[in-house]
Amino acid sequence: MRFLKDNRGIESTEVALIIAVVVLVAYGAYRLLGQNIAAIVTDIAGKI
Amino acid sequence: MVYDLRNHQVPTPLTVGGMVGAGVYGLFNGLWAPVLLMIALTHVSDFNPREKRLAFALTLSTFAAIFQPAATLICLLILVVWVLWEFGVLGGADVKLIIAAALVLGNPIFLIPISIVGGVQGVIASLQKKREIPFVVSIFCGTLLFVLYPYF
Repeated sequence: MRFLKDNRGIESTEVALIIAVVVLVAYGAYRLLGQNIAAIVTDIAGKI
Repeated sequence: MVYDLRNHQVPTPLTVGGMVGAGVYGLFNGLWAPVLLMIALTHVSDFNPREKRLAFALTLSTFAAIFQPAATLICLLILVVWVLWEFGVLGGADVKLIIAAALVLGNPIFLIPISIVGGVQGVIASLQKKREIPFVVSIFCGTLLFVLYPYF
């Protein structure tokens, strides 16, 4: 059980900054384009 | 959090206990697919070689999302943090705590405050010329922020 035994709770500063930027950009894109994406997916599902 | 600040490690019983408790809570709240995925990924982590682990993880996550579409985002979150752990980007304690929080809260949006707090912690650590940060602090503060102010 390699996963359960790993108890490291540390992360490099660069990774923390990259994760912050990626998550915030993804969330911003979702808030901005979420409705349009949902409409496109519904449209495709309707055609199928 | 105190253990992480002191030793940069969190005792296994605390993280595993939290994950088991969150799993039971998730099952009672109908999140059976993410709970099964969490258990499966725990076993998959012992497979060799890495390609086999990744292939199994991706397949199991896809099946979990197909069987419970309402929990797709949580399954995706569990897969992403597990893969980050697999590549050594995140620590095991961090990943277990994030999975436990996802199963309890049932909403992957809690990653946003965690990322914000982690980013602030990263900037402060960079200014202090530190290379590493105790990420459990970000997980704790971010989750607390989400619970107290859930308007993200």
